[in-house]
Amino acid sequence: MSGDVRYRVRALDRAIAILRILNQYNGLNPSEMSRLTGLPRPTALRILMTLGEGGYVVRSEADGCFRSTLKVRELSRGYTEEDWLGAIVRPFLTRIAATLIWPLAVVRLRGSRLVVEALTDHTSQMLWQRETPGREISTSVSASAHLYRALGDEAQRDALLDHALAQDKAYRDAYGWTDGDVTDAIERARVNGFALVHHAAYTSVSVPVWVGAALYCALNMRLQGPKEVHVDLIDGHVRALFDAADELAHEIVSVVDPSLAHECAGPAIQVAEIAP
Amino acid sequence: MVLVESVCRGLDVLRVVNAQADQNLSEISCAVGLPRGTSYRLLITLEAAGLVERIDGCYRVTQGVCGLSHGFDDDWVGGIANTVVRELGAKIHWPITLSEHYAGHVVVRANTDMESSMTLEPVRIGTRIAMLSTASGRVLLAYASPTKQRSLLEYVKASEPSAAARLGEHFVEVAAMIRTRGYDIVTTPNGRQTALSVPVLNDEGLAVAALAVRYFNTAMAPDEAVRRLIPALQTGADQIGRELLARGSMLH
Repeated sequence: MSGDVRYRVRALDRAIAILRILNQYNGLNPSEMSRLTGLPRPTALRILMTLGEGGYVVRSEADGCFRSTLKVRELSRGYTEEDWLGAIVRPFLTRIAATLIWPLAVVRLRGSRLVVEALTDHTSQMLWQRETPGREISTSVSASAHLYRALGDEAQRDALLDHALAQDKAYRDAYGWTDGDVTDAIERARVNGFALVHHAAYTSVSVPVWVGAALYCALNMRLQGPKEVHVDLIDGHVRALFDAADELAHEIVSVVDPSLAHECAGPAIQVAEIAP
Repeated sequence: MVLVESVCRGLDVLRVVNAQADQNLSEISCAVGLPRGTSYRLLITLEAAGLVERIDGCYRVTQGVCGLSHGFDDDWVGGIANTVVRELGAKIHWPITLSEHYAGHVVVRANTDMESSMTLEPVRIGTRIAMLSTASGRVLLAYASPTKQRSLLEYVKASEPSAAARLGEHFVEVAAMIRTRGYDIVTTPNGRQTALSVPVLNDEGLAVAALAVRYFNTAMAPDEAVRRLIPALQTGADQIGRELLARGSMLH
């Protein structure tokens, strides 16, 4: 399909980018949208007005911000998620989110891409910025990437390393990470058995979900706010996440391969060894 | 302003692919009412964006379409609450504010500050205000589930240490008092006004937002303010809650 780039409709590409970003933020004005998309402000405004005319977005008179309306769900209602997500993961996340409170996500390696398969952001008031299912995340600077690169099998580690070297430089640059920072973070994840990354706006924790001897997916929690706010509470969150990951593993095994149910424990974890 | 026709057409095509999987180019073109060449270019664009895939000449949506919704995809304040807030403001004249919480802050989502002649210091929409020291923040905390209340308090204590020192340690008792009477009342930081706030509740009795009014302390005593203003606030909050429920929103 890449050979057909010259036939692509540029305005539609831009509108898709704008809708994706609107889903992440609770209201953006045209200038903010221009900054986030890299489009000139008049172009962004024209597309936003077009989306408004179609009923997909609405502009608030009070703050001048555009927001998505319920109509955007017509653009996704035909998608049917995979069985393990619909039957196991999504109900599990909804149930467990009532106890763990902070937004949860299940991240899985697909080929060489790390993809957010399901998450609780849609109904959470605990984050300023929401993610959506299907989003590909960094293979260098995300907690789930560190977890896979530390605890995954050789094939998983190789796939991620190739992807990180080939395509993830922009992420590393944007977050100001050096190759050494990435290596250190992976080593900490290997020692601790889980991954922890403090970003400027939030802290991200990922723990492994083992099915048999395989790292099946990562269970992730994001805590809004600077590092200092959460540093004393991280131990408790990590323990709760490990308990939840064990529960999720057993539920996945019941669908994926019941013969593996007794092998879900994974390597022993020493939570006291947290190295932020 | 001139609208961008290809955007509308492209999203029409995507809606058609959503409505029925495994249609070919001719069927999609026919359903949208566009020439095959135009539909083809739009489908190429959607495919390159990771929203649709083509298998044996037929199209279906991919997981990528979830990125167009499933985030902030329901502007319930614009759709429901603004009308109620405006009507309430017109009825009781004092400035009305609707707030939500995001993590440990209260965010003003709608108000009548610019329409009310009795506003002392207008608050901009989107302003973040403290949780423990405001009536709306305390109402949102008091009507959170016990586990969420505990997590929010831990967060707020770490991020608002001064307020936590005054209130955080005893908030369980404060929350019980707020829930018993159904509202909270707090003097604003300037000392010249008082805020009254009630929760907008979901079907589980948990707060999704707070509806508040501010009045001048010189205008009436607190007990008179409660008697005159709380019934109208509660009626407005109930109306928003009912409309949210009727809409079947997945909100919070």
